[in-house]
Amino acid sequence: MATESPVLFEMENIHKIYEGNNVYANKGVNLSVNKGEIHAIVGENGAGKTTLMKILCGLESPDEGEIRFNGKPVTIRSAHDADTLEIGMVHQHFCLFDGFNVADNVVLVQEPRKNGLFYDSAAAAMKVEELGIKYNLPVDPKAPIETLSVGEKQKVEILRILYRGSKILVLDEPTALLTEQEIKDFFVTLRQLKSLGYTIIIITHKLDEVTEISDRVTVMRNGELVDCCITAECDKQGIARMMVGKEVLLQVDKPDVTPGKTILSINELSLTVPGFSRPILKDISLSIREGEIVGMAGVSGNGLSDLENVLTGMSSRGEVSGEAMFHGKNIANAHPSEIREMGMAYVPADRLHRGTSAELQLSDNLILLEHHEMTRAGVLQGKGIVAFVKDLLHKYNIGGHHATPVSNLSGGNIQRVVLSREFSREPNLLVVSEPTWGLDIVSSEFVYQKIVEMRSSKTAILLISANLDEVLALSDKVAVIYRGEIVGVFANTDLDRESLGEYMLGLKRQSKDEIQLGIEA
Amino acid sequence: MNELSFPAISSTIVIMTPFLLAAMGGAFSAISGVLNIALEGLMLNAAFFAIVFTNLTGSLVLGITGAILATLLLTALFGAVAFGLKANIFICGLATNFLAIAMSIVLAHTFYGRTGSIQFPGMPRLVPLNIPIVENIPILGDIFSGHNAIVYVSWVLLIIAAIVINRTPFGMRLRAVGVNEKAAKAIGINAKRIQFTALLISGFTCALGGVVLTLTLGAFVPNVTSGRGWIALVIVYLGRKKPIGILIGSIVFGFVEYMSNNLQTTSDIPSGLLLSLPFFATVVALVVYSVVEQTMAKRGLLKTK
Amino acid sequence: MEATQIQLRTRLATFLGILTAVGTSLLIAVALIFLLSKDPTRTLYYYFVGPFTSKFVFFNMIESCIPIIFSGLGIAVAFRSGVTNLGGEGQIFAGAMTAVLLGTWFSYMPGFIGTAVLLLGGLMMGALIGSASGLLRMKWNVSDLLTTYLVSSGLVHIVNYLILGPYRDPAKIRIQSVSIPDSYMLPRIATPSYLHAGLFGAILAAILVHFLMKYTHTGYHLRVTGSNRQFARYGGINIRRFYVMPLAISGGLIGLGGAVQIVGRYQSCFTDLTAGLGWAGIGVALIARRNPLGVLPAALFYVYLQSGARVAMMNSDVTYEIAAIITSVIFYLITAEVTFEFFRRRLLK
Repeated sequence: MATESPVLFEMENIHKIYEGNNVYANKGVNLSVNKGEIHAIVGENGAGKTTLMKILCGLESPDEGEIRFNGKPVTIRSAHDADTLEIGMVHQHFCLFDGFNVADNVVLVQEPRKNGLFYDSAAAAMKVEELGIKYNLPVDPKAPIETLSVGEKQKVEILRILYRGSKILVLDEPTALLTEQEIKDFFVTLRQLKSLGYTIIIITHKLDEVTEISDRVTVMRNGELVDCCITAECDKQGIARMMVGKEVLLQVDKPDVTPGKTILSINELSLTVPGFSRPILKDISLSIREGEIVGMAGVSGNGLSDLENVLTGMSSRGEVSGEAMFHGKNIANAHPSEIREMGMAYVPADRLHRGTSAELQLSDNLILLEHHEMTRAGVLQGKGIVAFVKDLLHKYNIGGHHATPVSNLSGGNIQRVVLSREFSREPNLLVVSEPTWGLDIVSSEFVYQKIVEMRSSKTAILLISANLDEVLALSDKVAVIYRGEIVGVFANTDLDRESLGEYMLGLKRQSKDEIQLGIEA
Repeated sequence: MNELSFPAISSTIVIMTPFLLAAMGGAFSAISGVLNIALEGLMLNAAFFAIVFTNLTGSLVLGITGAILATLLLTALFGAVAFGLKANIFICGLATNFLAIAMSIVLAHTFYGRTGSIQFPGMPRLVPLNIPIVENIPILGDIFSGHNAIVYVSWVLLIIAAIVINRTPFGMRLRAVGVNEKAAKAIGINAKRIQFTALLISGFTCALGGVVLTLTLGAFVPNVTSGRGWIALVIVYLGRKKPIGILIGSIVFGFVEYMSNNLQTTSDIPSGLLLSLPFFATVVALVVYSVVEQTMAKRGLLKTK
Repeated sequence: MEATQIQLRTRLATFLGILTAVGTSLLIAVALIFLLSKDPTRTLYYYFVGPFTSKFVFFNMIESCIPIIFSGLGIAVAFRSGVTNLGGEGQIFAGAMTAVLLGTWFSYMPGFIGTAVLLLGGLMMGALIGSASGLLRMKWNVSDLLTTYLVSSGLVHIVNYLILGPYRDPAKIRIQSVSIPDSYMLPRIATPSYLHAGLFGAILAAILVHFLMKYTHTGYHLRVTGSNRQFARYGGINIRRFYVMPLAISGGLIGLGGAVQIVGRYQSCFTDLTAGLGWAGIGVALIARRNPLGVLPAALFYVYLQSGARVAMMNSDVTYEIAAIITSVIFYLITAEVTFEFFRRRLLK
């Protein structure tokens, strides 16, 4: 007897544009979720999954589109509306509060009361214990939240939405920081919830989870819906292909350049942060030569930004071991003043808060690295600066003049400001991270062109990016990082997205020897 | 009064009361993540209106109520501009301090045709209350008897504050907002409303703090608060925003102030130097606290929250 | 919209925002006068026109600008560099008293040198006080907001002690300190008013501070660190060094202003010398949006409000502190983002 689950809710033709750019977070996305199913939403970073779910949970509002529950259109404009519809979301970054125990965290905002005025902590603890038993999410209600492991903290988050009566559970990257065992327990929990009639949506990029636990999967890419299918009828490779796409969208003209000597040599670089069960970075080894672009590919959350921070002296957490040798000095976690003096150029992922200072004007932003040379007897040489700035504005086609505040500029122009400043030093080492994040096509092409020019001038370039297209278009060599470790190093000849995607998603991994070969090639 | 009374104890308790009240209120704000630097102005405001209303109505109760209402109004203005118009909370705090001083002078001129000290002979004042039996116990008598009503009220309020912060839903949400405002908003807490309420609470307690200054004196003197509101801020910080810490801090600074007053009358040390003592003591306390905290954190001895 | 247009319109939006704050405060002034005065129109006349009715009043108004310019410059430097200096009152007072002490201890120098030494003394004292807070912030992360205020409050009492005690002038009925030699005083430039050559010093200071912040290496570091610490660090600037320096410069400017008050106006120190000048500096720095050259017109506007109140007080039935109420309104509104956002949205459509 075939039982067909009725459709619980649908999201139709959802459009959402990021404010400021003309980049679509969601473009014409349709989602249909059945009652009592476990539905996975997969896609690479930037695919729009989280935005779609935030719209469902009332934390964002769509520019276009409709949401229907049981066939009837609804408006979800606030977390309260979502609550009424019994939707609860567990965010990627936990909303837990230090200084409170587990029970407090679960019941916050819907606290049980004693005599109307007082918080009934005993009732809260009892309720949480009940829920823990009922849903097989055992946590000690009286334990201070700081003492919990990541896996236990996640249980608390789930308990919270269950406590609030949510029947539709949206979980954003729930297993990102869990150990293998914790993930197993987590799946048991999900199955149990499903058997109790809950509808569960998981946002993930981990294909094991998708095939293991979901009934249906919706694949998104670049803000658009690719397909929705029954999990049992797809295989991992098929899903990966859908996530990552077949065609190479980007073609960049790269002249032949013979790599020179090794400029940056990373050896067994590791980063451990207290509170996390596994190292954030583990034994990273890589070398980058003059005139070569080494691309570091990975899904966001696997260590890309931590690597960026450790190599540029901007890391603020944990202990670093191992080394990154640049001009004979170990720059791992060194102070930026040293690293800059040695001639590293750095285009950060966060161009708004790190790469530029919004309230300062263009000239102030542009002379950040050069101002020592433009000073005589403590005074900045105005004429020289204006000429320098004019030159850069012209070369990099930046709208505005030297006194324009950076806050007036568009994203594309802001990135040009960063590039012009960093590249004009003729550096011998360049670390560039997420260079075209949030940029339109024209600006992106300009960025790629400039990076290739740097390569021709024999700069050693480390490209860190979650955008597989650009890694493939630009890199001579590609290293894939997964869960803080390098799982593969390849020469970029005939590499395709699908195979790289499998390494990025942890489906495949090279042996130590293969990696070593790749590094030395 | 018996032979074994220690005026130091009872004086310190009276003197520490404005500190305690202001710091208590300041703590509510601080716990919600807002540094309220207008404690001084709010106290002054109440100190002034206490005299105005008590003289007007002839009743202490009505006078105190009037002072509280006037100060709550000022606090509401402060909060409305800071939270509603999105103005810088520190600058708004400074503005509130100036407004309080200015209003006291302008209104004194308008109502009474004079500036400077305002005094009304025959106006009801706060008097020390002696509790029978207790007052004769050595030491304990000094601690628990012979203070004016507001001193006792301040103790009750401290206990209430501790209960509210630690055992009510409001207190929980208050703390949550202070710990992680973004997360609090994400789970449906109206952070701005909580912070505004905390601000009003601090206005209320500061009002009582101001009232006790002038209604014991029986007069309003310009700058009657003389920096207590600022020291209260430091007490909140040193007491780590906890009621016990604030109590201890208030006792310590109350004692320092008592010594300063005492030495002015009993010793030859010039008053100017003695008046500066509480301020420098506060700076020293801040520095010692920071040094100790950082050394302990480095050695991993400190719990982070 | 092209970049220069955007920039112009943003500047206009900012200017309109300031105008709104200031305009509202003036409206409140008018309302207050109607409320409190029995002859409002006459009071209004004295308040707004009064300062211009006589040369004496007018030039005295300009004179009262001078310490506020120094104070405003000091605060502007502090804010721009990302630190807070709430110790203006104590720094002015200490700077003034230092000038008096130096003038008393070293009273036989040639006039010109004497003046210079006193001014330098005031500057150094202010710089020392500021540096102390800067040091505490740098080494142990102790709040500069709190320490500048607390140290300042303590210093006020100490200076009061000096004036009332060991350095009191026994020959005078009024409570004041001993006087510095006449030869150390700055010349008056618009007798019989009190306006003195310190005005030129104040204007010069504004130009120098502007030059420092905009055109020097150090000023660049201060501005970058004050605008975005992460950006400064990213560019290789050692941000830990920039707590002491800005507070030293800030305190120094304010202390210099205190010394100028002695050397230009009062010749001796008395207990109410500061009279809100430290706080005025903050107000002025905010109106000027932390721009050193903007401090000049902002200070002028500020003293205009105060001067009007003084004239009104002398000629009608309102009290001088109306000016303080108006100042508070300015303080409330001058940082209200909602106003600036409103204009920006309208102009940048």
